[in-house]
Amino acid sequence: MYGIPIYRKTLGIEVQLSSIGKGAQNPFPDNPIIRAPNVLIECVEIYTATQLTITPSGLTTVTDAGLTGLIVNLADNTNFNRVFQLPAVALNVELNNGVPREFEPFKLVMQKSFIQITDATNLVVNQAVYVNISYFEQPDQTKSKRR
Amino acid sequence: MKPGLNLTQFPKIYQSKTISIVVPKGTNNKSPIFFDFDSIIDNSIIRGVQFEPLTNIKNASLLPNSVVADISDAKTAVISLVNKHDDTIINNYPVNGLFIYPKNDSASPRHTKMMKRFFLEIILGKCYLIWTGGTTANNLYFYFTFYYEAKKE
Repeated sequence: MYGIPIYRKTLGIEVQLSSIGKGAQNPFPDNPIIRAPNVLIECVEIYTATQLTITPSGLTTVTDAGLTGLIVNLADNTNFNRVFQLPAVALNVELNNGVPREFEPFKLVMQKSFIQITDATNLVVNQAVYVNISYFEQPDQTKSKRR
Repeated sequence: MKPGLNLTQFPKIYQSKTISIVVPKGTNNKSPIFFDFDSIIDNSIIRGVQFEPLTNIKNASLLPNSVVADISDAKTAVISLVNKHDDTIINNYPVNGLFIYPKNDSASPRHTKMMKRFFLEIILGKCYLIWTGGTTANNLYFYFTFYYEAKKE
């Protein structure tokens, strides 16, 4: 069954491609919101220059063509690769008939997640991959529950 | 199969309100441009937000030196939505991500076919748009339709 995720909170993240050599890994920047222990992510979108040409910090966004040379790795707090070598194109909504990818919620560890280069042909150093992460805060489980 | 709690096939529309925000002529920095306060939006639950470009609403703005922002303008604009606790719950979301492309539009053959769905309580006067592009030649009117329902007491 397909559905459309309902966004409760989202966060724009810029992954700067500081290295575009084949196989180079460009880590996600750490973020205090995502790092919070009770925050789980449920949807990830990637935007290209077709939708946003310049990021809020002023970097140039990767093009559609450039996106085909990128794969995404997302790790959770148990060092498990929840998303392993997913083509970045799969996370662009426009290129996928308008459907965002929804994940079973998991705890994303940004410092262990990265975007890897498979083909640098249409990429430029210090371009940015603009990622939008939809997340929510889990209820505090340390409180006792009445059964 | 038990469907996910966050899985709904089609958006429901309860009520809607289309609101404009102006990027003034000559804007060339990334300072936030705030929406006006709106008591209806502030007392509602937002279920959907849609960007309405010039393609959808021609001649909506009749003021001098003013134009309605189109899809190309939205490529250098992001919006942030803020709740009553001053938390930016939607952070720097690309405006083009809120637009449903017209079917068979030759300029944009790809389609964003579905409206993005939200479940938010926001204070509109604290929400803002950031213009990331170069100096604007005109007053640029960005139109957004908010789909909302009243909060249950």
